[in-house]
Amino acid sequence: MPLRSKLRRTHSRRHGRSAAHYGLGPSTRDRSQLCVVLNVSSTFTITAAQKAPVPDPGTIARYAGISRAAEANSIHNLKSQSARLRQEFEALAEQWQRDTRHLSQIAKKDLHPAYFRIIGMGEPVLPLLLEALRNRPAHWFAALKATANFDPVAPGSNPSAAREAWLKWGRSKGLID
Amino acid sequence: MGKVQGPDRLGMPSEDIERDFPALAREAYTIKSPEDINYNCLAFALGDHRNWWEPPGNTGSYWPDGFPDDISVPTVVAIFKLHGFTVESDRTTQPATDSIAIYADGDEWTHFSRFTGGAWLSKLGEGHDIEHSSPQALEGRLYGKVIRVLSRAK
Repeated sequence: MPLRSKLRRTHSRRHGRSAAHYGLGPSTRDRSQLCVVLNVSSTFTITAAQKAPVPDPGTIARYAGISRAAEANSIHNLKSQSARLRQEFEALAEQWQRDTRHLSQIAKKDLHPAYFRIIGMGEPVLPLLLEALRNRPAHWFAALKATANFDPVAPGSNPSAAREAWLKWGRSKGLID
Repeated sequence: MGKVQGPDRLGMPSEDIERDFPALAREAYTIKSPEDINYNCLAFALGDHRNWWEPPGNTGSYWPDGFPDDISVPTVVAIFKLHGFTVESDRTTQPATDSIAIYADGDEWTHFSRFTGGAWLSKLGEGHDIEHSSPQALEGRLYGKVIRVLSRAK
């Protein structure tokens, strides 16, 4: 059975609606959309004529340039916001260090109110956290993970390796020197 | 203030140590190492300076296979027994063999000191290793009380 017919029949059986109900026609693009609507695999052979056109190198370079400029602008904005948070961050970081430096469990360190407040500062605190980690090693990893919504640390890493992974990531993003 | 000796490059002033452990200020203690985030007191008590021993859930922590993921005293006693600290000792007298003092607040451990070569040694969280005259010198708000001392057999 031709794929299009099969899809339409499957969909009709499941939902009692035809592809036309969604405004989908017989084109390749519509067929792909139909696959998404029906949640079925579109693993059928795509002929060369059906493939999407590949942008020329000039177009790719132009879009990459726009992307890099947008990223640089975004980092610039982040650093501007960080600068405004610096004084409060340093006071909170000092308080956290003073109150938890001698605790034996990271889980307890991370429960300190100052640590929560720092996480609450969101993404703009990232450059300050990375700077703190670089200048005086401490268990900032949970705060970094929460504010970056990312974790560059390999499973099983010890704290030094985790620190190196974060600093490398921060440098690659232009967030710290 | 207690007599403080140790490395020139100290990440934390002795006043901060004495603020957290006021009893230390009344006796001699020695700072033995720079600050280090790689290992905690449990690792230090077992001779490991590369890993931060704590149940899983935190970046950089290490926990031995086969033990419950908790910070209960029975769990850590089982770990120490596996490492040869099998004999219960008096908490108030100097042990005759290498020993570990267990500090707890309720049912959960808070700290460990190691007795070796005739001296008590501790790693203070992310901070320094220190030598102190007795395990009781670290009792207080942060670490609670010494509840048990486990020693190696003679």
